Amino acid sequence: MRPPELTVGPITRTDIVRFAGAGGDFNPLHHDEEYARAAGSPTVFAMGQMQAGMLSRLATDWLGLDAIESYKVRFSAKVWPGDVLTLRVAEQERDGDRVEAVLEAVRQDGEVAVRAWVRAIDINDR
Amino acid sequence: MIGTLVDEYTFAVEPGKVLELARAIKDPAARYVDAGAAREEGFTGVPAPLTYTVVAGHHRDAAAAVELLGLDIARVVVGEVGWEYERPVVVGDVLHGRRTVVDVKRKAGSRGGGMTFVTLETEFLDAGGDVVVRQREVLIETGRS
Repeated sequence: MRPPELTVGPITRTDIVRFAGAGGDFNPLHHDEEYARAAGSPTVFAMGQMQAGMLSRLATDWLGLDAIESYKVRFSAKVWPGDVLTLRVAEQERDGDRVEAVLEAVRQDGEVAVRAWVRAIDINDR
Repeated sequence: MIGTLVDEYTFAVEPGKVLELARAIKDPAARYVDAGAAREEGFTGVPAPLTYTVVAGHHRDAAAAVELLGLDIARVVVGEVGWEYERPVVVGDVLHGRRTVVDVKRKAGSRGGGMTFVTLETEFLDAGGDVVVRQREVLIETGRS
């Protein structure tokens, strides 16, 4: 039951484009350098759903996909090309075969990019 | 505005889309690409990652939805997204998503530019009409700068 810790990155523009194709988010802020700069951004940045999905792997590796009742994310900082994310369990509370935990994806500069709340049941056999 | 239907669409959960999303979130688990590995873990078919319903982005028009809600797309960000699962989404499911407004809150801003929080809920029903997953998202329209 020891929670895992994962590292992803450095995130590339190709990673962001791959997620755009998978998820169908073609907002040009996430892939068009000129558009992003004209909008006041230093460069393109990842859509929050990309890091939300990456962080969900921590939950499924640890607790099991079929044990998870709910997964909720809140976005707090952007993820830029070159960023390295550490995915870790920040808090956990276990009650019998139930777990409630807070997960976070933290950038190399210490900023939390996304925080997730996960609730799981029937985890005794893991 | 509460109760307003934002959009609805039907899509099949396809093996290629599950593989693409698993790759895009850098999850190498065999269960997302190999039916045998999925069965060994007790799934009825190849399951989809927890955030799979994001692929509904291919079936939605984000700009039209924001316009329907009366928000300025240049000032809208997604603050929060949550999923509640009745069962895992599996390849072969045909899901019908229906997205409605469930909450609207406004906060006064210090410089006259208030913020608006709109909560949308999508119920994804399978072909039998049972809810598989409920997704809630909070859109935030920031004040004019």
